[in-house]
Amino acid sequence: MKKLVALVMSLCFILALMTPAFAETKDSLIIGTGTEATKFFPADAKGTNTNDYVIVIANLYDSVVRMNAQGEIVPCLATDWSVSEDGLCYTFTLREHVKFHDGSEMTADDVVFSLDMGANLASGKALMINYDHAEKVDEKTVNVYLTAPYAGFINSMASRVAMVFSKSHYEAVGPEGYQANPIGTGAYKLISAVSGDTITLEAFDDYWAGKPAIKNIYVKMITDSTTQTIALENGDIDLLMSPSISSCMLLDTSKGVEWISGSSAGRVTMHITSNEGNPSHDDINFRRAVQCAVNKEEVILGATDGYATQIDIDMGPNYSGRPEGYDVVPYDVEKAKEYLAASNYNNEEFTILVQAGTVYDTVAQIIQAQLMDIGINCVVNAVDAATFTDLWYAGKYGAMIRNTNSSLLDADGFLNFFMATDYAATNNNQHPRTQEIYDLGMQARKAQGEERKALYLEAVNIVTEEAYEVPLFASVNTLAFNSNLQGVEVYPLASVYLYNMSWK
Amino acid sequence: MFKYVAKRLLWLIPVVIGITLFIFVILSVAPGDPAQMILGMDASEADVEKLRAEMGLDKPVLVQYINYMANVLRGNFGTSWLSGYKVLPEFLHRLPNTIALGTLAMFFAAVLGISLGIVAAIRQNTVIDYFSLALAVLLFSLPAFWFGLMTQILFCLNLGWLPASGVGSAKHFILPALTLGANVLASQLRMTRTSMLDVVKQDYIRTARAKGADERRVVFKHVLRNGMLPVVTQVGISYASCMGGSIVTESVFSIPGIGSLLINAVKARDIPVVMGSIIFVAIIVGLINLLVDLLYAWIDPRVKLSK
Repeated sequence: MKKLVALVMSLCFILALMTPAFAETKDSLIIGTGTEATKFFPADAKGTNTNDYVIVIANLYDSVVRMNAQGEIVPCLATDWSVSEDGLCYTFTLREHVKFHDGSEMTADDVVFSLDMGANLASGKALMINYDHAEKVDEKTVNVYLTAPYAGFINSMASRVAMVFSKSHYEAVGPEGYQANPIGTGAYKLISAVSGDTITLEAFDDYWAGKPAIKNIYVKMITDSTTQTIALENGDIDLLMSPSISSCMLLDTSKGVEWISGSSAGRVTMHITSNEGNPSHDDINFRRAVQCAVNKEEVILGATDGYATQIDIDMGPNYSGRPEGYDVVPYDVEKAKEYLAASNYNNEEFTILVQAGTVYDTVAQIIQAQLMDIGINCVVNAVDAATFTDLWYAGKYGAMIRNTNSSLLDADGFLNFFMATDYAATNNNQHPRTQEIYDLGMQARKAQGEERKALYLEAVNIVTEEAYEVPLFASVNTLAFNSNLQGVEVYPLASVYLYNMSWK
Repeated sequence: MFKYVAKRLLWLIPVVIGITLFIFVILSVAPGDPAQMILGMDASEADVEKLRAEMGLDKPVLVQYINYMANVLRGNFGTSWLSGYKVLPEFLHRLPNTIALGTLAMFFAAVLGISLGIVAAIRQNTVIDYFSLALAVLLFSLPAFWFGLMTQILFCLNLGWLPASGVGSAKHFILPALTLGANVLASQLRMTRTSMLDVVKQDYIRTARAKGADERRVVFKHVLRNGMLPVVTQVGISYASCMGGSIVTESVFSIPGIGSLLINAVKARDIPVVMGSIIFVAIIVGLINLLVDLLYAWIDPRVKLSK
């Protein structure tokens, strides 16, 4: 027995000796994230997603302009821009002496090539609304032409499809080569990406804004939320991406760790279907009963500990073009019961579709209880992401709750659920008045200023009147980090700009 | 012996075909369109259909399966639909983590479990026996995610001795191995104790003692060797199961192994990764089972390998 104990202890000792000490110097930053970035080329034909963008792509590449933490458009690769009177041509003056990671200088040709390619991606068609083509005017000027005016177009130039990459490198290595060896103008270079483990970035010394303060960045995959917070408290990581509000609350008592939150580009809304086979089909009284029965304050308190901002239209408070003075339906149980009594509802099952294990699952359960209180036989169908998407696109639900991001932070994002076109997501989710709302949205794209807002106002009031949606709250972006880290800001699109960060 | 091994290896072929066909059909009828998931909600129907055609998803399921297996026979396991990584290098890159975790967990569980089982059997109805049984019940009842979390809070947060997640050094594997091995330890302990007690009651043990053999010789030469057969089987099954990837342990400790690869691929309906992983895991499990059978015959010469 003694020998056995000695053997086990020796083994532990040997393991401890084998371990290289992780020398944390303050020129490095370790980021923990629950979702893995796998694509490093912004114009990948199969698309890039938020995970790829927020930490890696946003720091490897620069877009033509940038959206700051307040949601404002600020100069980036373009120092200045102007719009023609008819709104069909945007002229960008490019920054001088911008270098790619391979040392070559960025030119107007690179910008034109990148924009044309980005706009033709599946995601580009949605992010670069009304884009026609780009044209080099001279070495430092690029014109971007639109097929029709769109007031929110400048926001497109801050999106991931407006990130500039090297034309010559792309022509030499192709899309796969670019993915393997990405070259951008961003503050950081990709050193390695070990799937499921760590992505390593290194500061780009020739960055146009100056050398970044932190030299090495390690992005580590930590899927479990509890492990994430322990790793932050333990010092294994310095910055934690998008912890839940409940995880953040746990960190309140930890020394040397803090967290911040801010408005995101997303909004959480319950979409009520008009599809046949549901109590909500062709029954406005039933839909209005649901609309009046939802206590949003209770939902926000239960799902986000009161941190989220309530919304009454399907647009975030920080969206450009957002109208004011819209109709609001207050929470009113008695009114809800009256609507239900006036409806054709006969205790049929009303299903709320939601993605399991998310905060929206909690939201659905709270709303389920509220609807049951007025006598609706409500069930929650919580499913995995793939099944959720399938059921949603097939229109197989009574109501569906999800967070929808407007990558442009623009009122136009509200149209995602009222596209009377060939968008796959909406083919089976049309309402009787979808075309009318869609037409108003298309007019709003061409309008400017107050006229634009008035058109959106008309559209959102139809949605409220018909009770097609119950907007709940604007999503919250969060970051938790070592208190010695400075320059940490929450951006609406959840990206982190590592260039701004430094150690105290 | 050679014929037996060859025969068992050949049997792996229909096993792999059966498993892959079953998984392929299940994934094909499961909800979730991979093309739509890749392109997102903004994609037009035409874009989605184009990608479906590129991925071969527009063909009948059986044709898709035959095409896939034909590529596998040429050594092409495809690329991940989700990340674009090639499946074979991705699997091989993650396999060492799973082997390290599984082997360390099995070592810890087998050494402690079998030792405690032997002691408990020899000292039946003593404090040590009761303690061992209570420990077995406790370890068997603890959910892996909870046990893992508790070890993290104690060793990472409070004591600061070990890292909470990831890989990169031997230190990273200690807590995951403890977590994964806890449950296996409990079964090894119970199995060893029960098996040893069965053997202790046999006539040949009584005879050995009657002939004056000392207790150490009786235990290690006669009881242990005969009592080890079911234990070896149990070790083999547990080890094979660890090689399939421990989804919970890998998730809690963020270990990039086969389990996390497989679960993420299933969630994303990433068929090439799921299929590739299943094929490799099936082969590994088949080989471990074969090894256990060979070991079985070595421990107990009465067991003849059928031809």
